[in-house]
Order: sequence, then structure tokens, then C-alpha cells
Amino acid sequence: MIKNLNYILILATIVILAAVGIAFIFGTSFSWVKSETDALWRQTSLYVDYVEIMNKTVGPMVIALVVVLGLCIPKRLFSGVRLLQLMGALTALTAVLSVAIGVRLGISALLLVAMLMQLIVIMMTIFGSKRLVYEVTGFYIQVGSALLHMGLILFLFDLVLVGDGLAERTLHLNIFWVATVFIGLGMVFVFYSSELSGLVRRRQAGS
Amino acid sequence: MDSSGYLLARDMTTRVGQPLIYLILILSIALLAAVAAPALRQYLRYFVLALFLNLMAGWLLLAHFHYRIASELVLVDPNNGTVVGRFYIPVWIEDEKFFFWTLILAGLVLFSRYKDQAWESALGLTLAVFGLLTYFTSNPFIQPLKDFHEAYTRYVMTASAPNIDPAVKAQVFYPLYGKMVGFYNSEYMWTHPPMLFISYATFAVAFVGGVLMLAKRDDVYEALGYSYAKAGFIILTIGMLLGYPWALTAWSGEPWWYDAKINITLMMWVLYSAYLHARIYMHRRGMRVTTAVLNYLGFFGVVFTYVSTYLIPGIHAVAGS
Repeated sequence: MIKNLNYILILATIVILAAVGIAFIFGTSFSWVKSETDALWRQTSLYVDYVEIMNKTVGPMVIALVVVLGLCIPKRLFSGVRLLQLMGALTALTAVLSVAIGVRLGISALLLVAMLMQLIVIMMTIFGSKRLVYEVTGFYIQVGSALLHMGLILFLFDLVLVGDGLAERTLHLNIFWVATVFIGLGMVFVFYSSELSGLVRRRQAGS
Repeated sequence: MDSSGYLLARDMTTRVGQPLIYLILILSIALLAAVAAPALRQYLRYFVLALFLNLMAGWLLLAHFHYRIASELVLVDPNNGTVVGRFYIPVWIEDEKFFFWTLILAGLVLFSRYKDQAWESALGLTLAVFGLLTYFTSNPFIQPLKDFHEAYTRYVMTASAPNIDPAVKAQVFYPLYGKMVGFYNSEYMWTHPPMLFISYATFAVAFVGGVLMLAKRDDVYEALGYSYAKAGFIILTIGMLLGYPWALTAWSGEPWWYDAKINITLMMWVLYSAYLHARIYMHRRGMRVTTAVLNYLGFFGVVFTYVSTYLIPGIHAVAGS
């Protein structure tokens, strides 16, 4: 059940990423064609229209990506029917808030919940809790996965805040740097977990 | 503003650099021959080593030229005579970009620990192609830092000429000053571009692994390619992220979101992200080919990202500027 759910979430992520890629190809082609006909088109209202079209195209995909990311978080803490119930509740909450107070704030709420959950996941992972559900084994890969997801959530949260002009430049950049550190560390831990654990084992054996 | 020392250094870079770039051409052809002819294959590693040393020598020569720029040239406000700064330019701009990419690739090929004829030949072929492209499309020694040189020369000629309207002097000074602060001397210049070029070089090796995996139907090559792709992806991601605060500062008030180059770069990141996600389930039916295709698409994305700078006008492009 959980393994299939993971597979479905991964496939969903790949499909959304591919769709985002195609949207960017469209954007690039459009820019290219426009630049050939009018070198100064970025100074015209056409560019504003173009950005609006891109926002309308990429926006839903980014929202879908955020929802998939948000749904990835509780799978560490819950399993089975409870996980599905929680996922359903989170999706419903996001949808209701998006309708009631706007898509940006709805998505921000989902990201905030995901952030809090992920903080718990990070703490539990570091302290070696056996209650967490990971499809991968190994301390470093689990810590890395937790940090990476936290970094991505923070990064998206930061972008959503800025998109609505809710954050000051300094706050925005501070959150950005924290997200960058989380993403960087997370990637190193995920991709080099066996090397890291080998290094630690050798150090422990040597001391 | 005495720029004679700078001009001498530029001339020396051209004179010493030309033989080096010819050697790069000859060694790239020799590398191709070593890949194609079994009798020469035993020399392949020597050709790779020689090409790497040559590229390194060329790069050090360019670094020396940049050092001379920093020590010889100053930017003076022509209207009040105040020295506003010097140019601390990293060695990966203009035609040096592709040269740097090739140098990193040569290092990766040289220090690849896996010894296998197919792997070494495929890497040798890739490096030879990069060497040839460097010679034919990105020779940094013909006119070292052409755009910078033209901009600085125009500034010196205008600023030092008598009887020129201060407004005209300002028109030449301020764009160069803006570029000095926001581009040449930016601290992000030392992190964002080199990290991207290092990642591009690792993706070239990952691409070779992906091609060999399907051609030879051997997972060893896939694992090799993956080991480079994951390192490249970390460097690419952090490098791209470091470009974000730079863009906020350097392009403040300008329309840069959804710029063509930025679109393509994001597309490339998305493709590699999809590749790394797909690889987790590579053992499932159909995922092996999907993974390989995503790897190929990712590398085509890398090539297109680089080429787009010269093709599609935009805020992040050379084309149209």
C-alpha cells in the first residue's frame, strides 16, 4: 500500500515536472519568436501579457507540485487508512482555504502545516525514532530526505510570500538562505549517505 | 588613465595563447584518432593528460591576464576625477566560459577512476568534441575579453578626450560602472557561473554513462553516469539558487522572471530532477528506458541552455545585447 503510494507520488512528481518543463519550452519559444520580430518587446505590454500567460500556465502546475510535496510529508508520520484520511483532509483544507481566502494563502497554509510536520519528522529522525515510515534505510539518507523536503517547503513558502508581497526583502532572503542550506545539506546527505556512514564508521573504529 | 600595461598583457595573452589553442586542436584530433584507431588506443590516456595540461596552462594564462586587468586598470568618474574602483573579473566570462567548461570536463575524464575501454573511449570522444568546439567557437585568445575591452576602450577614449560634453562622458561611464559593480565585481560571479559550468561538465559525463548503458546494455555505465549526475545536480541546484539573490539585486526593476534563458535553465533542472526521481524505481518495467531518456533530455537541456545565451535575446543573454 505504502510502496504503491510512494510510487504514485513519484510518478505524479515526474509528470508534473515534465509538464513544467514543456511550459518552459513554450515560454522560451515564445520569447525567441517575439525577440526575432521585435527586439524591444520586453518593454511593451506584450511582455506583461506573456508573464500573465506563463503565470496562468505554470501556476497550477506549481500548485500541484506543492500539493504532492505537502502530501509526501505526512507519509513519514502515518500509514494506511490514517494516512489517506490525513491526505484527504489536507487536500480539502487547501481547497476550502483557497476558495475562501485565495489560492496563495490556501497554499501557504498547506505549506505551513507541512513545515510543522516536517520539523517533527526532522527531530524524530535525528533522535532515531522507530515510529517514522521511511522506504529507505540508513540514518544519513533519512536525515537528508527530511532536510531536503524541509528546504523545498521553505523555498516554496518563501516564494509564495514574496509573490503576494507579504515579506520584506531581508526576511525573504533570510528564509531563502536557510532553505538553500537545508536543500544543499539534504542533497549531500541523500546522495552520499553510504559514503558518510562509512566515513563515520572509520572514524569511530580509529578512535 | 594609463592602460599601456593592460594592453601589453592583452597582447601577450594573444601571442602565448595562440600556440596553446593550436595544441588544443592538435590534441583533440589526436584524441579522436586514438578513439577511432585501435593501434593508437594505448596513447589515449596520454592525449587526455596532455590536453588537460594544455587547457590548464591556457586557463592560467587567462588568469594572469585578469590579474593584470585588476592591477593595471582603474575606473575613474570622468566628471570629478574620483577613482571608483578596479575590475576583479573571474576567469569564466565571454569566450572563457566554454574554455572553462572544457577544462573541467578534461579534469573529470583524466581523473575518472573507472578503467574500461568503452568508457575511456566514449569519454575521450566527448572530450575531443569539446576541444574542437573550443577551438572553432570559443577561442578566448584571439581577442581576449573582447566585450570588456571594447567597453573600456570606448570609456577611456571618451573620458580622456578634451571638449566633450560631461553628459556624453556620463553616458559612457555609468553603464560600465553599473556593469563593474553588478556583474564583473559581483561576489556571485565567483559562485553562480563556475558552479553551473562544473555541473555541465559532470552532466556531459553522466550523458556518456546513459548512452553506454543502453548501447552496451550494462548497468555499470548507468551507475557511473548516475554518480556524476548526482554530484552535478547538487552543484547545479546550489549554483542556480545562488543566482536568485544576484538576480534580485542586479535586475531590480527589470523584467527577468520567465526570461528565455531562465526558462530553459529551469527546464534543465526539472529534467534532471525527473531523471533522479525516475531512477529510484529503475527496476520497474519501462523505467530503465524512461530514466535513460530523461538523462539524454537533461543533457540536451544543458546544451540548449548554453547555446540559448547566444541565440535568444533577453536579460540573461549575449544575443541582442
